[in-house]
Amino acid sequence: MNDSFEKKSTGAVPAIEYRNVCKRFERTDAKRGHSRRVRKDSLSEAGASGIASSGQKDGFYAVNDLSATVRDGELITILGSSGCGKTTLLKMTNRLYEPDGGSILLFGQDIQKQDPVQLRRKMGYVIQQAGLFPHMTVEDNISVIPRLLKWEPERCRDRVTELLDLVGLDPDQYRSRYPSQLSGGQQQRVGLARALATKPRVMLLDEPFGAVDAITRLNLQNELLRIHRETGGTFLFVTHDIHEAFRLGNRVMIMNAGRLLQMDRPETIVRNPADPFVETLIRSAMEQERFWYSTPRE
Amino acid sequence: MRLSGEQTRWNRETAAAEGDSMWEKMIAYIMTHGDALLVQIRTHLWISLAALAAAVVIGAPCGYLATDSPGIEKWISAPFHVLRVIPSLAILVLLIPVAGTGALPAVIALTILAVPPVLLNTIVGFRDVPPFIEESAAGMGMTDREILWKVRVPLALPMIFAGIRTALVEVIASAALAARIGAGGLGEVIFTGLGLNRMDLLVLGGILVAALSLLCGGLFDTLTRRLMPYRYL
Ligand SMILES: Nc1ncnc2c1ncn2[C@@H]1O[C@H](COP(=O)(O)OP(=O)(O)OP(=O)(O)O)[C@@H](O)[C@H]1O
Ligand SMILES: [Mg+2]
Repeated sequence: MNDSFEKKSTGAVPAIEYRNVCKRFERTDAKRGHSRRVRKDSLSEAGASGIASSGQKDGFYAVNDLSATVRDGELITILGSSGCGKTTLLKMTNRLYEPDGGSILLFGQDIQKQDPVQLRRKMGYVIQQAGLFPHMTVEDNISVIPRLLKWEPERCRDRVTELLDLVGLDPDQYRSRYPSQLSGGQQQRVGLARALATKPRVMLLDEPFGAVDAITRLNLQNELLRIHRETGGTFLFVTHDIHEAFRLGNRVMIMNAGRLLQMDRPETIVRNPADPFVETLIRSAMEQERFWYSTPRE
Repeated sequence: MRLSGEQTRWNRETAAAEGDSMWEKMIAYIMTHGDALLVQIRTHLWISLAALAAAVVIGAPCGYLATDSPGIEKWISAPFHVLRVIPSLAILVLLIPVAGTGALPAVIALTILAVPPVLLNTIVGFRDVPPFIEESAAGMGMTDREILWKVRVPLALPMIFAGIRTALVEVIASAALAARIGAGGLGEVIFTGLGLNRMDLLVLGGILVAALSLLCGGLFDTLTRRLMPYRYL
């Protein structure tokens, strides 16, 4: 597709490199709310699991000594149960959170040395609740950043049309609607389109399909795979659905209690689980599957 | 049976003359004092809108400041709560030594009355902006300023406007007191009615103030609708 993201000369520079990244939360952090802009993800449950795992009273590591390398153009899924630090990891990647240890490199450059706003404009970010602005039409939502970057109105409009087509929404029908006039699945599509607006080379997707039914979810997954293929960007996709993770990911990162347990191709993980937790996870997924195969159908 | 036109007119004139129909008297007053009434309506509106504008200029920024640092919220809103408890009439009288008589003390007293609804609704409006929307704005690469003006303010605006509307209606009703210290307005009709013990003037003044207040409220709603279409889908 000519919608391709400008690719760096295919050197060996990884898209993202996590080096011994740690993030520690104090128990009082959420309450004190010392930084308005960086608040706790409203969906993650407070502390319990993290605190239990670290065994400390005053604080705990939501992400603990995590190292990983994401190659350019990969679609990585991040799998783990609620509270294991997936969102925290993503938010450190676009500096909504600052790590307490280690460093993160984006195309070989330390993100700590970059301006957060510029950094974030190089990455698309989609959250579970879609996070569309209710006071803006679909068109305005998608073209927020292009307009801040002073694109010509003409160019903004064309880009919106292009993106709505890309995410499978009829531009004429949807461009002037408000988010409240869209279904949950359609909002997710618009959220995705908005994140793709400036052709970022890296996309951070935090459970973008969490709030939709199974059929819509399957459609969205297929669209996402298509979009990833067409754009050639690097995608980090958080989910706690093991089927989604293994279906979508070129490689899967499995996390538990802030630690990275295994990161590998789905087949490899199924064949050689690196950890008892991973093994349990796969077995439980297979147990669930068994029902479908053991129930005879005409 | 059908009354001839002649007879109807005769009936109306005698009724007015005998003074047993308040409506007739009110219409007669409007006929004879039309110009004065227009001036009074204009003054009434002017005083009210000036107070409202001052209240917005004071209340909205203070409300915003109070939201961003919750520690100072009570320091900002407490004085107005205290002041609001004092009846407006008392404030008017108390202001005479400081601001004299006329429009200025009236506007000041009405501003004091109008700030709390604007202030409180601004605080609630900013506080109710969903954190995940702010976060998604920050995550997209909007600066704090852009988030404030393009996301937080527009999302707080419906609530702020609701506060302004409350203040508007309250101010127009209370502006009738301004006539008490010589600021003019529709209060003059009411106070004249009180002074002369004329029920028709009391009722006329009351109706005009109420009508003005309803009308302004309606106009304000139209404005809100135009500015925030997404609220009414
Ligand atoms: N700002 C914060 N202050 C204090 N604790 C936090 C904050 N953000 C996250 N946490 C805690 O850190 C841990 C990891 O949270 P995180 O949101 O990364 O989990 P998650 O893996 O995304 O879970 P979910 O699948 O439920 O979204 C949780 O125990 C959470 O309560
Ligand atoms: Mg999460």
